[in-house]
Amino acid sequence: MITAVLIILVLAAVVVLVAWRLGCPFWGCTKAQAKYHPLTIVRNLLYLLGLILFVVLTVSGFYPPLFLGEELSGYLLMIHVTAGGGFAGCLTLLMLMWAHRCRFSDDVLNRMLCWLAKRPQIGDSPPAGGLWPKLLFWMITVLSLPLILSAVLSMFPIFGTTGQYVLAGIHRGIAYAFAVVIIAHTFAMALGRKQ
Amino acid sequence: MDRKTSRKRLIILLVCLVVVETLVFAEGGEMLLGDESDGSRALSVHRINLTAEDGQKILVSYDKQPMPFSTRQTCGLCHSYDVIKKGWHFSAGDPNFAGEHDGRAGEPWIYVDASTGTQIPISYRRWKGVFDPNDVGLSRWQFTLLFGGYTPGGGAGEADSDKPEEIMRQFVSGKLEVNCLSCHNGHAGQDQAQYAGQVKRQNLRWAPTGACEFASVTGVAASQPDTYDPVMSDAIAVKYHKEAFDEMGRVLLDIVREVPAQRCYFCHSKKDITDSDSGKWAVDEDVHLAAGLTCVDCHRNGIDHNIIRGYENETKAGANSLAARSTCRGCHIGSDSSVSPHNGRLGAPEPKHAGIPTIHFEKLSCTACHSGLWPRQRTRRVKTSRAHSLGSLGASKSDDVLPHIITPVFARGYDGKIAPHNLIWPAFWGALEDDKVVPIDIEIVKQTAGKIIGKDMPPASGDWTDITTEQIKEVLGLISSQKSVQGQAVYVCGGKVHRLTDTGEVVTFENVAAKPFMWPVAHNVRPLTQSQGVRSCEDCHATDSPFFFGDVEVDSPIAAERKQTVKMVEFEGVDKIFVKVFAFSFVFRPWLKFAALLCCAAITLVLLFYGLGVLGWILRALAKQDKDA
Repeated sequence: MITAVLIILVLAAVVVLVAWRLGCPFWGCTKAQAKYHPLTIVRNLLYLLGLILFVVLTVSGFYPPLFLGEELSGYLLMIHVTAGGGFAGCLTLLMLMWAHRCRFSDDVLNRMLCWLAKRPQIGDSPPAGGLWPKLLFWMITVLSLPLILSAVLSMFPIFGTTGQYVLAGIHRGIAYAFAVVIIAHTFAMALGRKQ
Repeated sequence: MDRKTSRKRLIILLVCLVVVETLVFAEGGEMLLGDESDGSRALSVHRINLTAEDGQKILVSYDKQPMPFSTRQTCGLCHSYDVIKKGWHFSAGDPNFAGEHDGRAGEPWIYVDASTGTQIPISYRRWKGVFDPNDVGLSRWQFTLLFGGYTPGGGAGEADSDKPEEIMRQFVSGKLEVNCLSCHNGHAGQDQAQYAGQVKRQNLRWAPTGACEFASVTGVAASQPDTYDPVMSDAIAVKYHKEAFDEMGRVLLDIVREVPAQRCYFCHSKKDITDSDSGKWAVDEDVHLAAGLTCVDCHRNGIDHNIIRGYENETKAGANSLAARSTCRGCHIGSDSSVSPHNGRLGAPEPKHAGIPTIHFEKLSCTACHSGLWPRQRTRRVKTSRAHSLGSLGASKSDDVLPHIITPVFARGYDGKIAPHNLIWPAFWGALEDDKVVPIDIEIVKQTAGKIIGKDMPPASGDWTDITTEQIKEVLGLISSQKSVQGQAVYVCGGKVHRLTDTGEVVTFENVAAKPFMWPVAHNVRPLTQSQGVRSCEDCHATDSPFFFGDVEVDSPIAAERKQTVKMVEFEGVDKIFVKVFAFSFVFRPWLKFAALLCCAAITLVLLFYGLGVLGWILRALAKQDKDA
């Protein structure tokens, strides 16, 4: 049932994104109106749900191998898989909602290029103004793909025993990196909000 | 030095020499002609003289009353008999080797007596859950007469009895020597049913001769008096077929090193009795045999006859050095730790196990998915050669005949992995002392329970004679009056122990002695396309899958108890609720997979959409740079 809801939500989000890109008027509200816009509330709730599921996934995924020296199994595996499905859905919806906001404008890209090339232009400081959350957002997006695929492909009769071990290894390795990036992103978001 | 002292020293020296020589020979220090191969893979032709147990050559042309040949004397001339008899198939009942290499539990011998409500697993092996034959009052001699026909001799059959009446009978019957021909005779005339019949007749020394293709035996040792002399009397006579012998009195034995499967089948056949189409013609063989292998391709041994049983960690039981690489895993997957690769032996294909999470290989044995009967909602029953005397003359063909062996029961095995097992519910009269139940001597049981339960005519089918609570009460009262029985009289059946209260009521309680005895099933191995899980995960992970939620039959002589069942999960050592919830989650598994793939598709699109934007910016920047230049 949860999965069905998530599917519907993903489809709805795709529709919203397309509509927005086509210039649908309901999105074009003022900043004050946007704060209480239903989509903003949904997005914030999704973010909260995503964070909760992330904590569940981190605990259920890392506790057995790191503290018990065991493979993930039993109730923890079941919780991990269930939370994983929800998290993937949340992540996708948030990406669809945030991707445009987190895009790199020409100006930002120019500034970043100058900063990377150590060429003085407008200022000598790196392009601030939410660059780190944006960068981390795209890192999350990039990492989430192999993270989800490594889990879901193992459920199909494609990979043999060696492949299963490789997939599990990929999932584990990316999960470590992913967790670090998520924590950094949350921290950057919190910092940005405070500022 | 006086003469007396030097003589003493000489005697001591001689004694030492004799002791050293004995030790060397006992350890198998002397290699005989046939103990070691020179490397030729050609068949060794055995055109040899036969020798009787007294060491005299059997001369068919001259002997008017020839003796049966002795394998110890005939085969032992070139093969170290004392080394061979330590092998797996012969050593169990030998008091000299008790407890050696017992390893993982295997099929026990099952003592059955419907007239006393007895069905009890016994074995000389020290397996948890079986009883020593001595516990039920069976001497090695009695054990041999009951079960020796389905052994290749040796072990209990060669042990000396310490009971005077049995010592006398052993003079008459002789000993049941290791019968090399039981396995190694490649001739179609080797008749193991005849062998089993000879054992039943107490013709132990005649059994190998009576079973072979070039001799026949008449007479019954069981009906001879204790004073019978086999050399002087012809009441039990051997007739050798003279055309089988050459002019030098030699006979051509069709000895094969690679034992044909037909030989193994006499003791290791199995029949599914639940299916109406389970006739021999309708049932496929093990996939390995169908592929052209034979039993001994995997179950190998050297001169010590320490045959590979084929389970993992067998080497821990001090077994054959090839044991580690002769398991399912050894042939099909191999080991990373071995110096050279062993996988693919005998053409074993390497399994892909596509889509199967690796946790399965930690929790399940290979046999869980690949061996035994395909599980159904209710367990089935099988008849086995050793338990039901399959293949012997006069064996009951009834499907209900005791013992009742239930299969497949998925249970946690010796290594903690779930594997298919055969199961038997013990039923016996015993004595309870300090929370420990021990069986009562079968002779006492016959005199007590036999009089009460045996009054009713047992069913012709060989099934249980139904026992009522009143009868149990009566028998328990009778047993309690026996002075030789120590402790409280109890009756074990249907997984419970029945005892009398002070008020004379029959109550039940649980005890380890009442738990079913299980032994792992390895054969028949089914083809790949009939493996558990081949259709979908729901073969096992469904809320009503037989693998977890199948009903295991409870067998008992008490009719009311026979209606009970136990869920398979109870034997698997897993949390019942977890398994149920986990199975339930598979209802949503396809949706989860679909949603996850949809998420991946959406993320890919987002990445492409904005990634292409960045790529466009880079291209524009490069073009601008080019233009500026």
